[in-house]
Amino acid sequence: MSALSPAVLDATADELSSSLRLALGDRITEVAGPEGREPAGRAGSFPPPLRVGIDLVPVADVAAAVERMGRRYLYRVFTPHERACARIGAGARPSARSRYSAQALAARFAAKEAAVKALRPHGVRPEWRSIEVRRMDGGWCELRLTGLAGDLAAEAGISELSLSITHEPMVAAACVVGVSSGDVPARGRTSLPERKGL
Amino acid sequence: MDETIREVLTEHGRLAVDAGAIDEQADLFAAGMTSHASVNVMLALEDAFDIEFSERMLRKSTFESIAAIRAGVTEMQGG
Repeated sequence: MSALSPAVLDATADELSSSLRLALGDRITEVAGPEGREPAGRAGSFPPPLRVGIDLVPVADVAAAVERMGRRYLYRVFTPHERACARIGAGARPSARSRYSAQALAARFAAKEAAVKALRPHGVRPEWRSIEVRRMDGGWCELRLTGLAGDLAAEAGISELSLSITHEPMVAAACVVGVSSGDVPARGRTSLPERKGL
Repeated sequence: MDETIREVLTEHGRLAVDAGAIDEQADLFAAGMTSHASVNVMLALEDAFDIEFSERMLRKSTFESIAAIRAGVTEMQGG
């Protein structure tokens, strides 16, 4: 394979840039820098710094895990808020006989995995409970990140995460989209305040 | 230890191949283990070996092969 000259590479980059502008339309202008070639604060990061993660979980797998592992599985993977949302008979206090919606749990697990895919950890991955699905009063869900998950988002400059989940009797799915503000903190930062939506 | 690991994988790993015969270096995720199945494998390993994986062990590589699992369990046992 022959090497390409800088002039050819520039021309190719310009063609790619034009194609992306046509494909993404106004979205580009939100993240492009003054010259329209690089997102602000993210030199070399083009196309726009979006992070997408998606995951699919068979509901039967989660039902089997609850059946086999019971409390250990529930408490290791899901936060109190998530368990409360999935508990059948919402509002009831948890007890040894509490029952949970496997569909709701599967959707939340899918959300955690989708978030991990969007965060792209190298090495140690966030603990499951550090990625929490919060059900809002309006019925939609948001993600709240803490610990390592929050650190990964900060390192990637992700200022906003959006989540969508769905479930049917057989399968649950989730999609996470992260948007970078381009404001990447200095490396080595180890903790972030807990932030809504992150 | 390997026999127990293979038993756990057989019961919880949801592999597309025989966990009893898979090479110890083979990639378990490539062999069909899902991320959710890896959670079950982790919990079952904790039960089987009376250990608890620390957060720093929660990485995909810890559960990617029988050899990697053996190393992780050994580390958690203080070996």
